[in-house]
Amino acid sequence: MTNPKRILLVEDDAAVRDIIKEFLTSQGFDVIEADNVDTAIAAISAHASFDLAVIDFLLEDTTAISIMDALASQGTRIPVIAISGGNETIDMEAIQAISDISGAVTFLQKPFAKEALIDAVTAALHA
Amino acid sequence: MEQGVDDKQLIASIILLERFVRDIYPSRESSAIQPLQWSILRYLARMPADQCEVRFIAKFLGLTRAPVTRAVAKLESRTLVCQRSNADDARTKTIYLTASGKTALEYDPVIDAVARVRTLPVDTQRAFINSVRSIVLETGGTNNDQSKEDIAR
Repeated sequence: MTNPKRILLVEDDAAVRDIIKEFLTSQGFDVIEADNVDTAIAAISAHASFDLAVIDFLLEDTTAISIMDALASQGTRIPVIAISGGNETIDMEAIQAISDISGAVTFLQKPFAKEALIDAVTAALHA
Repeated sequence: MEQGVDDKQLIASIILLERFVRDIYPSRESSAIQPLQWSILRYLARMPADQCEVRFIAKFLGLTRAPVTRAVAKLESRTLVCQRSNADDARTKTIYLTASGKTALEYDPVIDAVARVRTLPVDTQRAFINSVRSIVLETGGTNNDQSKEDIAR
């Protein structure tokens, strides 16, 4: 039996995080969750490897760029799916562009359908 | 001692950046695909079908629905997109790229701009990317609604 793929989920909205975690877990993934930059970087340090990351690009008072940099420093290229609902100061087109620059393979605009998430996860894992 | 950058140099840089972006779109004639229409075509090429509705596109671009609706109508009149009513809610329509729309995207002006930047040394390309990212992230974002509505006209 193969080990389940491990996903790092970073989302500061607890309700959204719970929904995504529950869904990905139901799909057979091992989900490690974090709610901010510090807990995400601690999770990256604590776990040997991740197969994928799903990251809310705009966290409470910062962006997820440092998390993506920490993942990149692991050596192997871990695909990142950036998600965002935008905010008052930056539109989603700009967030998508910045997440592309920062190494995300896919961007999903919140709210998104579960099918869109699993399609993105499957595509990222098989890229 | 490190020298500062004076306003004159910064102003000149911004003028050059503005010209570079303006030159990307060689024609402003009404028959040409306009910048907002290009943004919509790019969006449709990349986003899942369930998010290809005017309300999602407007949110993505930080615009109200009106300019997006007008731009989609223009694209539809040129057969670059088509709209179909949703099965579960006939009031909403999903917008799809047509074959012509996909072909048009092969001539996206941004591709030319990328080709120009690609001619620079790799370190300069990286510096350009990091500079643009910092400008957007560290100087107040992009959501200036009035200026964007003006651009969208």
